[in-house]
Amino acid sequence: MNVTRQRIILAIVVSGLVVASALYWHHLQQLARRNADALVTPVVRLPKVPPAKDVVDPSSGTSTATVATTSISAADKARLLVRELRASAMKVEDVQALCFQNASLLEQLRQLGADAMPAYLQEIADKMSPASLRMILIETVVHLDGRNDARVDPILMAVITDTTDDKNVRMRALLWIPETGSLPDGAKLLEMLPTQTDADLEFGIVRSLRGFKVAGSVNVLAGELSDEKSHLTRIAAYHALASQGDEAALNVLQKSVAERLVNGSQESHAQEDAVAVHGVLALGELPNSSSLTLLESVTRNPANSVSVRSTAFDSIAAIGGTDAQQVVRRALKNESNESVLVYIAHAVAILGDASDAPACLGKAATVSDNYTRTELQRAAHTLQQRTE
Amino acid sequence: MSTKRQPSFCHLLACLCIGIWSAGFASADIDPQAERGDALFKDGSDGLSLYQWGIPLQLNPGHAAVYYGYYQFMIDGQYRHMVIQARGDNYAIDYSPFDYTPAWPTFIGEEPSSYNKPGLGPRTSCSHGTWKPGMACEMTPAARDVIITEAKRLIGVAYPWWSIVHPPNLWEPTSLDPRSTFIGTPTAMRCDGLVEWVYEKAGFNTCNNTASFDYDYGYIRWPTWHSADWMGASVDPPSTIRQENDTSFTITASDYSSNPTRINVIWGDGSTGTYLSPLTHNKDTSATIHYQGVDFANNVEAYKTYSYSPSLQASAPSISKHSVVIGCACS
Repeated sequence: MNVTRQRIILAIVVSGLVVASALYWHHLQQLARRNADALVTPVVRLPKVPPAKDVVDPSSGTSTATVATTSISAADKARLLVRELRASAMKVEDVQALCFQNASLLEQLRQLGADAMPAYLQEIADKMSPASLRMILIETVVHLDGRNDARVDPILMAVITDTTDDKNVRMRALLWIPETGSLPDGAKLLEMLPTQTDADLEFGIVRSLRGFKVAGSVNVLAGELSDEKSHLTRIAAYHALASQGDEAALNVLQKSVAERLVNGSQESHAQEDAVAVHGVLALGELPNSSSLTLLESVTRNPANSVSVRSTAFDSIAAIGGTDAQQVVRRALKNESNESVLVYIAHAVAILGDASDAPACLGKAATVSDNYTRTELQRAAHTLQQRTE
Repeated sequence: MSTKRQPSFCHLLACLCIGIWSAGFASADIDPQAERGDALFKDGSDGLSLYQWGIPLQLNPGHAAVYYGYYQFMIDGQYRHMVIQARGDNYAIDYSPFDYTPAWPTFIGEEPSSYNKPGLGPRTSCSHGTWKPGMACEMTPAARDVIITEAKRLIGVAYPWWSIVHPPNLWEPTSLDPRSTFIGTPTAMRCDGLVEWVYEKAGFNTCNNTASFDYDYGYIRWPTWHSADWMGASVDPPSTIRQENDTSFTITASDYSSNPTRINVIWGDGSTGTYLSPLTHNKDTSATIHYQGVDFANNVEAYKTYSYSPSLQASAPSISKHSVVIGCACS
């Protein structure tokens, strides 16, 4: 009996141990699972970027608090902050992440103003520096004092012309180089264009040329309107041509738009339609009454998309004058597309006089689209106020 | 003796079928939950969440774009739902498909509240009184055309990284006013700047061009979330109702609310049709049908009933907000 009892007790103890072990094992499993989850989706709280006095020099690993709280110059402080940014950029490639993660650091730099310029320029010129940081700094120097600080332009042009440099950095420099106001840069960009084989950089150069007037550029830019070019390049070329502002550019623009729209522009061909919109828009950016005939034909061709036809009225309004006034008056009378009528209303409001108000109101009474009706009524109101 | 199994023909066939099905799903079976000219928003997503050493940072900058329509995508030649958007990692504002997963970011997917997952964000909503004149959800076709035209004019404009950080300007130069008669475009523009610009061009009062992002030591916040701001628009849950391009289909929609359902279709022959419910419309076409949009704005969802002929689904589709009413006969 005792033996039996001992066996029972032993069995109970063993069972208890087994259950306890199982429970402990289960507990360990849960812990492991939680840890695994934490590894997959950790909640990472970004540390607050410390104030300047606590800035840590990442190269030495030592605190610069002593230096920062004493008589450190703004330029030195900028170098330390940029160095810290660089350390961060080495870990985060994404520009947006770099900006957000270092918002406070960037703010400290911003407060240093032009004193930080040497540190910025040194970092931009350093091809070993992460592209994300250089891209941010390019925009920073341009916004800081790009037009007045003579040091900015050579650094940006060096980036642009260095074919071994990072493409994204070059694109950023191309975007902002017009802001430096350095006219010789335009000629240099134009020189680079025919040999450029990368479509993105080609687009970047053409887009930059919008900010320059360069002698002899019209023929080169006309070549960028070729159908073989990307839609972005052709769009940029239209605006760059308009920026040249001379008769040769105008002739190229008019010829190109006329040829492009000979069969109309279809909304379903999204890229081509966008190119046509920008071609028509460019005719308004280089306003000349000789474009009116072409623009009126664009507005009257139902094969053109609503966007193309509508934009033509904005360009007509930008050209202005009595001839343009007559064009929009005819359109107000004859147009039946209620989306296009919105832009006609805008053009009439710009070009018309009080005598056009009744026509606007009359047209408003015939349309079914509430928005169009409101725009026509608003145009009438504007015209009535003009006389008063 | 090795017990490793080699993939059988059945495995390969199954993979092939799944691949084909997936490809088909990507192009056609998606309800965009948006109409031409709609502003689309999304909360942080896979594409937009930012990582450090593979760990997602708690940054949630979101994204915004304008819905363009269902058109042929230039890269893969497929018909896809397109937006016009400004993206920091692109060189310019451009068209982009939002049902094409390799292209970041997508607006299709899970709820935007699911952090770190792609999701359809809020679209233009009926619920915001700040979208004057008129509610955004009441936009007429002409207003939508203005939005699209203005968005096309911004194609080619760059993205300003500088404006990501303080001061968070939505476009540059900041002196430009979309309400003016200025014919040109900004030099650079953020995603939400694009949306604001085109909507203000169309006459809506949105917010000023510095009132979107806020941040505090790297944390991005929506300071006016669910208040009078862009980002407070309502969320339309995605549906799985099918839309397809095919040779023959019937649209049947009955709507007994005061505002009829509007169905805009661009047919394969280039003609367009706008149909108001209740309707039953049949059309045969041998070409591709371009889905343009279905406007359920201001309709009381419970009053709508739809049917398909022939039915694509075993059971009647559940009626969800902004459901799509185009069915087809799959050959």
